[in-house]
Amino acid sequence: MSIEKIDLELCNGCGICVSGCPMDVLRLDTRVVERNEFAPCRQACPAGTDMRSYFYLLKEGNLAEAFNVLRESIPLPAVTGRICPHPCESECARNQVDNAVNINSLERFVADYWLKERAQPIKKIYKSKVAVIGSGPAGLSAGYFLARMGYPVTIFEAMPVLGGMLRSAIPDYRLPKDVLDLQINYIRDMGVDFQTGVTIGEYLKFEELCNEYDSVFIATGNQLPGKIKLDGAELDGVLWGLDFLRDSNQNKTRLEGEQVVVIGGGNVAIDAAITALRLGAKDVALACLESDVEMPAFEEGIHQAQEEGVNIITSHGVSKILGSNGRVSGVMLPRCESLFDDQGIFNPCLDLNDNISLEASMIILAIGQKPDPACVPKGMKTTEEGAIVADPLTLETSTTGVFAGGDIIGEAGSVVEAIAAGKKASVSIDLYLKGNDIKTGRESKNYTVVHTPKYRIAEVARQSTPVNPHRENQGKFDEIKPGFTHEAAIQEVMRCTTCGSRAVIQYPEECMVCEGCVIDCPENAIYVSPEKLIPPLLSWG
Amino acid sequence: MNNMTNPGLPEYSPYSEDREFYSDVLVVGGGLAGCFAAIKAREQGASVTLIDKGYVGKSGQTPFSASSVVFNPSWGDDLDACMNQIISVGEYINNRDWVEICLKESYARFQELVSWGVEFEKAENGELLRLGKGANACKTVRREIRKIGAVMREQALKSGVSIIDRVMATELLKKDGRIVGVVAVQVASCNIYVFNSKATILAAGAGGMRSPGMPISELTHDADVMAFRAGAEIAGKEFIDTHSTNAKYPYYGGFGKVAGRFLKPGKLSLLSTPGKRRNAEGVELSSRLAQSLSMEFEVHAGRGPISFETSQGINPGISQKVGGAATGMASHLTEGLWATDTTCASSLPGLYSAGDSCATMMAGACYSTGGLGTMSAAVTGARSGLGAAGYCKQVSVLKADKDEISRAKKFTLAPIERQGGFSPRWATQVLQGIMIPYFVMHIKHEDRLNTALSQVEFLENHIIPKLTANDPHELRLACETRNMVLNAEMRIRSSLFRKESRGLHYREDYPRRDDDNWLAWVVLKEEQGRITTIKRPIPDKWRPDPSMPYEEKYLARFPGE
Repeated sequence: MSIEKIDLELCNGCGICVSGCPMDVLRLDTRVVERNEFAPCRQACPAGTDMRSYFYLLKEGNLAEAFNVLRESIPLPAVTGRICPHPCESECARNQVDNAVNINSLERFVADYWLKERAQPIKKIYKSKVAVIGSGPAGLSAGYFLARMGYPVTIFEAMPVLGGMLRSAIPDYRLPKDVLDLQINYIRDMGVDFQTGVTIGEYLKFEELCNEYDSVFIATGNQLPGKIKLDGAELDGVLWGLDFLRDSNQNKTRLEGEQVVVIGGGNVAIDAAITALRLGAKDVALACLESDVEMPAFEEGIHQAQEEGVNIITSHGVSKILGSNGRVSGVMLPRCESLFDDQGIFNPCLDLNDNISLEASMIILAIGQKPDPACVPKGMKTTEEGAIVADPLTLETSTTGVFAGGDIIGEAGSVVEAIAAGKKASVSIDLYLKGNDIKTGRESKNYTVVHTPKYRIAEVARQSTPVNPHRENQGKFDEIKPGFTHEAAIQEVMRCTTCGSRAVIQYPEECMVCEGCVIDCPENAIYVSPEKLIPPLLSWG
Repeated sequence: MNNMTNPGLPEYSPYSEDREFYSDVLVVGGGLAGCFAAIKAREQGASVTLIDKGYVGKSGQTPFSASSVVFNPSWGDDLDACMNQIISVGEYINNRDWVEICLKESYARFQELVSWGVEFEKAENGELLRLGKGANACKTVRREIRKIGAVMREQALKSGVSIIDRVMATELLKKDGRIVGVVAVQVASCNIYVFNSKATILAAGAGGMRSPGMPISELTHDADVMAFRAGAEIAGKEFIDTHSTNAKYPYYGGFGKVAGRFLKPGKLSLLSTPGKRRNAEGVELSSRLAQSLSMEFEVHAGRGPISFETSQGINPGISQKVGGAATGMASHLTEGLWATDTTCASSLPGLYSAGDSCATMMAGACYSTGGLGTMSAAVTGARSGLGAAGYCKQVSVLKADKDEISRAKKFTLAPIERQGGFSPRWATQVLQGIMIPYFVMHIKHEDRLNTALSQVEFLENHIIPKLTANDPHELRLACETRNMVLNAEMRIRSSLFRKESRGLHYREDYPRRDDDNWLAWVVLKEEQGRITTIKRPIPDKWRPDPSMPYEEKYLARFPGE
């Protein structure tokens, strides 16, 4: 033998031996199926994306396989590659060396590379039909995974267009509509049937749906703005955040005047503020109850809003909207002393004597969304807030065979959480339709790799996500982030330490016994024997 | 949709994974020479891409090199004495201009290495340790092996060189007689990478026949063969390297001391100690470098095996020496692309070479002292980088035609696209069987060379065109086998052509040096699909004094002369 053994207990999957072998003897096993060990990034991803596998394929120059692996867990990679809050990156083991790998931009690179690729229709191997209500990320995700399994799936959408919040609430500069269209078309090409303009409950009764389909997944999202009682809310020039974004997304500009104040600290508020600026508002302020560290919006969005000139006023609520002649003229913003009461319940305490008063021609209220009771079938158990009650493990509702996920069950969250919900529902529906117990074995048994690569990893600067200079974008809705170039993507993916993989001796015949791998291995996991023999002459094959 | 088009995608096939690059200077090979070339070209303002089929900093012979000749008059070094040492061992066919350049520029390269963080061994008194045979001989400095590569890689990156690892250059691209880039294949995926450049520097080292004992199996003369196919002149193929290995652990032994040094303490420590070589009769063999073939001569005479005796005595097996560890290679800086000037320009416009890919003929017919190769790699690397960057300033960008690219691509991918055929591993083994026996390349004779030639030609004509690869790794093997076989033919033809013995070229049928006819270099060139041999005499001013007696001129003795 030559290179004889790799101690799989010691090997940490860093891949130094794989890239460093002059004779190309080694490969990485990134699946490591015999161990339930996930890399920290994968464990942090609600959808369970196997980053190390597709990143390794990317390192190896195999973009096609990388795309296939990404698609195993992500139904809308070009969407998540743009707007996912990437919880994976906070957990990336590379943080111990320098900075996290730019996982989000790499996802987008792979997805964009194959953006125009058409899906092959998937053969339907089951007769049981599944209905999905809502074509937002959760609904699309459920449809995608069920179609992959071979189920006939129909997705019902009340609106004339598909995509739910992805289309109505996310501005073009973050997610261009043509990208969303291509991603949805991919799912359509797989064989998922879409019915638009169909409101379940009006056009088609829920009971009829249940009769026609063998299982139903409800993913209607949060349709209603979280309205509050507020003096002056009835004035002209006061808009709800989601309505404002939806109109803007349909090119129905609703900017009134030049001074805009947005109330709220979430992602809708941030997008409303940036959109107002891009529509031509001169002064845009955003006021929220939370302090700057408590704001629920993604940091990236907050940063972008500040960059573009949004005046963010933290720790301030709203007490009154001022008006004259029936129109908005300003707003009173009292300081928020605390957000929660002694019991830890959300109960903001405002100091009405400490106010900021702003002039405004338009007020956008973006203070959260809630489920629309019209979307909840009669008799189904709901929470006080009107969300459908569903088992967190299986997403089954109080009605057997009916599942619900995403915002409609009160788990207001990011796009990747909605996708994860759709994936979870698809697994439950598959088990249910096969007559299996839908609970057994569903608890996650995976654990995170502890032994992550740290030593002998050279520091390499992270390729940051490119951002177009905002000044050029003023008044436009072109995408803010142009995406990685091929070069940047390859450089960045090389930083991935493929945590928890295992090196494999793939081509021992070529080992020249130079011992480079032995010397470079940070874990002393490789054994090379001096006793390599000159091989006998092979047959010609 | 403009904002979605990925600028990295090649225009001609939106869904292919092929990639296209441009840089002013392309460097192929990431050893010491390649890194120096890349860094120096970059310093001149050229954009530089450095590619390697392995990993820049871990490839080639650089990781195993431990010493470097450093010449510095202010340390008391004497230029004439050092040059005479190199030239007398090189048996007068050294290119004296290059000997002088390599010596004179060695100190500047050494200083650069120190400033980048390479540590050299110090004596007990804290001063730089300098070793050499005799007061006036070339002196070498030593450093820890395996360390220099990482420093060079880091320095290249710092300089702004763009590094792409695991990409094997397979074919040069031509346009209007100029070299305008290379086609390369990614070794794990078969993706084709097209590198366009104004100037290309080949620094892919020398190569061998993958014989056990030298960790140079990765080197398969990729540069020489690629350049030869494109019409470049190649020289120095008749001289053979004489590294040996041990009989018990043939894969471990070749680098002798070096191999021993990186083993864990207590393991095969015998290899790390200097010792004496004795024939079966117990007679000590001369350690004179000019008699590097002495082991082969003894074995040929029936006085083998040769034992390697250390202070710890003789260890059966490990101590038993066997030859041929580096069959297929010549002395450093003696074979490769013919250097037409002192900037390492080849005979093709836009093409440069450096290190062991560059036939400066500095070492002549025999390599005189350890550490000369490393330093000359640094010097030729730097010079080729400066030369190529200067060339870039004079020419405009030329891009290879689509037909030319697709020809090179087709040639590269042929083995993986072929359905049936011969395994490259098998073809390599057959080649080893033809070329490694000592009586082919070390002790030569016209009859045996012709026998080997007819077999190698059979490989070239019938096996190589039918090589097949099952995966990307085997595609690399197929490309390498193709290169090794052509290198074998070049070696045999050069050896047949030089009808004398000199340095590391010994012909049983012509055992004496023939100064009247062979103070000359053998240059090869492809013409109409055939290898042609050219004799290129050394300048008259470099010929040794004709009045000097033969035995004085040539200190090493050949059997039968």
